[in-house]
Amino acid sequence: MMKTMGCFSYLLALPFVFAITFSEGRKLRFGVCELHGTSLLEIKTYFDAIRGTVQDEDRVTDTVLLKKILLHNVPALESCCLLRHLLRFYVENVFRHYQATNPLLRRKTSSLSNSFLSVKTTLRQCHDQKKCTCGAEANRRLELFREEYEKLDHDTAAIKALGEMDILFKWMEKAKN
Amino acid sequence: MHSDKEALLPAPQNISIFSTNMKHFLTWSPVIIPGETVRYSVEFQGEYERYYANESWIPISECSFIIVTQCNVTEDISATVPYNLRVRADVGTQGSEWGTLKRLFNRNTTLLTPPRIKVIADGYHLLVELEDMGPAFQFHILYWKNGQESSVQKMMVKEITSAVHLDTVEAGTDYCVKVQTYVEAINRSSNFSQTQCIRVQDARSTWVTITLISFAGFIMAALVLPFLIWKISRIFEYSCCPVVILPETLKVAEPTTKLFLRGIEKAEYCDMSLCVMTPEEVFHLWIQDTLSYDL
Repeated sequence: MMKTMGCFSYLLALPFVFAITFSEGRKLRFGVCELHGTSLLEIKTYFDAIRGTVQDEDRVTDTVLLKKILLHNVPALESCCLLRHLLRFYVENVFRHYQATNPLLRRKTSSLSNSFLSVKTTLRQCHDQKKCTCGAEANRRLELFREEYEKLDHDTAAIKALGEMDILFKWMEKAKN
Repeated sequence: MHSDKEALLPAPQNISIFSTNMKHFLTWSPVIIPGETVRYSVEFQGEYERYYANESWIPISECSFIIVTQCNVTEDISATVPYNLRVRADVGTQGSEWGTLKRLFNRNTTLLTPPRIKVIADGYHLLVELEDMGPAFQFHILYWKNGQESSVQKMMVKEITSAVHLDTVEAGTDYCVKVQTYVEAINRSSNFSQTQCIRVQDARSTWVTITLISFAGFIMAALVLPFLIWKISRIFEYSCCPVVILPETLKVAEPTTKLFLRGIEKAEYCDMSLCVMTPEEVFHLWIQDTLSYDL
């Protein structure tokens, strides 16, 4: 009797097992550059730890830095370049100007900034292999982002950009194939 | 004067990191000061802190002023970049110099061990139980019919939920399973586990269960069905051909003549019908009656 019950419970679990089976082989790919050794899921977990705080700290609510037009319909071959420069901008400007208000927040932000650095390194390798070249479209979009960012003072802009990282992750998620 | 005091307390030595399956532990040799309790504090520095944040160090609060000589640094070695770690000893207000790792640590050098597995055959279902190694781990599962190694089936599992259902399989056959782990964050896989084979039993026991259940069901039906039929027929009877019962007040009493007739003796029938008798006959009857009484 118990055995039969067991069988039924496994049958009920079948759809779930199929769901995980069919997600096999989904890798992050930007243009021809494949992001080996990057777990977007992991990076998103780090962001979740600081999300509440940084979004609360953001007082400028009438503007968005990562506007829709920046990340919408990016030509596939230029997506790698756009991502590389965005990550570089975060590493060199955003994280640097963010002053964590407590030690735990500092540790969690460190996880994010080091993860960004790790992805940036992989993208850099693609760039060196000419798999991550920039075009006019990527440059135009980056320029738009920089302009918006520079309209605000450094600290305000940094907090805003940190809070908007989920927009970036959503766009990266779409690159999974 | 202060630096002299610091010099008295030596920095922790033999700082090393042990990393297995993405769990990282920093250890060091104890600093021994007789009669004193030495406390240790640990800090880390990722590539970001090294190159973009003025070579700053971040304290690990769980490993601040601890008395053990080991620190779990898994939470903070959170990206695939080279990390540096350092440890300081403290006795009262006196602190040592920092002792640092000899070589930077990158988590992509972690030792990945094959997962522990348990293959189960449940009826016609082939299942495998996997060791829970944390959210970073995925599992590549290979399974095949013993002797048919050429047609190996593959499956990838991202999250473990008790046992993983592999396939519905043939009874009386040997199936084999082996599993390796894959960590996406470092793009590395472990070796495969040892192959485990299992014979999928002829599911006769299952048939016995099914037969028993069917039999019990039949018995139940045999008992319940007649009752149901009876009940339904009653319902039909009530609704289609109801028995009309007249109220007491409307009941007409039985005709008096009938009541009269009840229990009447044969001889008295004459009273009912009109009898014309002669005086002799009357006398004769009287005699008869009297005699029978006397007798």
